[in-house]
Amino acid sequence: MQGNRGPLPPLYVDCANGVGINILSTFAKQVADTLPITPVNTDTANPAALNSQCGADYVKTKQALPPSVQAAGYLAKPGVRACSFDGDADRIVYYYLQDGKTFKLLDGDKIAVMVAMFFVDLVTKTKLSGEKKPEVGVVQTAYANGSSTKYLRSVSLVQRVHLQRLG
Amino acid sequence: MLEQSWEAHATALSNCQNTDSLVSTFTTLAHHLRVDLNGQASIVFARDTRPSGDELVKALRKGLEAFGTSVKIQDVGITTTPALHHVVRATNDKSGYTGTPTVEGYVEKLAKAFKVAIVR
Repeated sequence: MQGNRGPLPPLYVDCANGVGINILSTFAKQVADTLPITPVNTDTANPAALNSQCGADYVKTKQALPPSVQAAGYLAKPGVRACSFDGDADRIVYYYLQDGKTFKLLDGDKIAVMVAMFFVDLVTKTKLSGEKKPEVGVVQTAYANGSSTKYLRSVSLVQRVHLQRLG
Repeated sequence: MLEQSWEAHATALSNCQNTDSLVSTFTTLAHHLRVDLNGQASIVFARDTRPSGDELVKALRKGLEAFGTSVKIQDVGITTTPALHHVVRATNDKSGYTGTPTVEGYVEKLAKAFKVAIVR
């Protein structure tokens, strides 16, 4: 599979002024020619800044951009996406502005569906069939939104949907 | 994530009023869980950027050092939870399939996989 379409549109990553930036800065360098990443809210030196007016919890509960992202106008251009880590960077939400105006949130369930469909797409492109064709499976927790589980099960190219208990 | 049953164990241990009580609760728990206190153990830990991290790591080290050389300690430093998960898993996976048991190994693995999946 070869391509020459240049890098993806830029991604802004809100690091919630937490530890996410430690990993992200190295990762961003290594994928720079594929995905331009701009970290924001990276003040780890100030304990009071952690999750303050930023981060995944802020975005999910307020259903809004972090004020710093809003003010910078990063998402005004179509195709530009942003995401927010929580403080220890094991949770993430994505978001964008539809038509540069309407806030649209992509939470964990939506992200899982999109990633699953991406892998379904890759599997289809391999043109493998029968026993050689890889199966696509999705693991969700019991907290997952029922509609997302229902949707995944309805898509015949996703062979397994497993609900896993936590802990 | 802590396994469900360990919530009760952690509560019991943290509520011990004095050293004797802590030692006896600990020994009883080890016996109940069939843990060989003379066996070898390997502990990998990291912390995030919260200021409480320093003190917590100091306390953790003191607790682990009480067991002397039978406990191998690997301090991964300040990093994310998923990076620590990778280091633990890669440390345990002797086949090497999981990758290099370091934060750098985690990033390299992710970046490489991402670039293979997203061919432009």
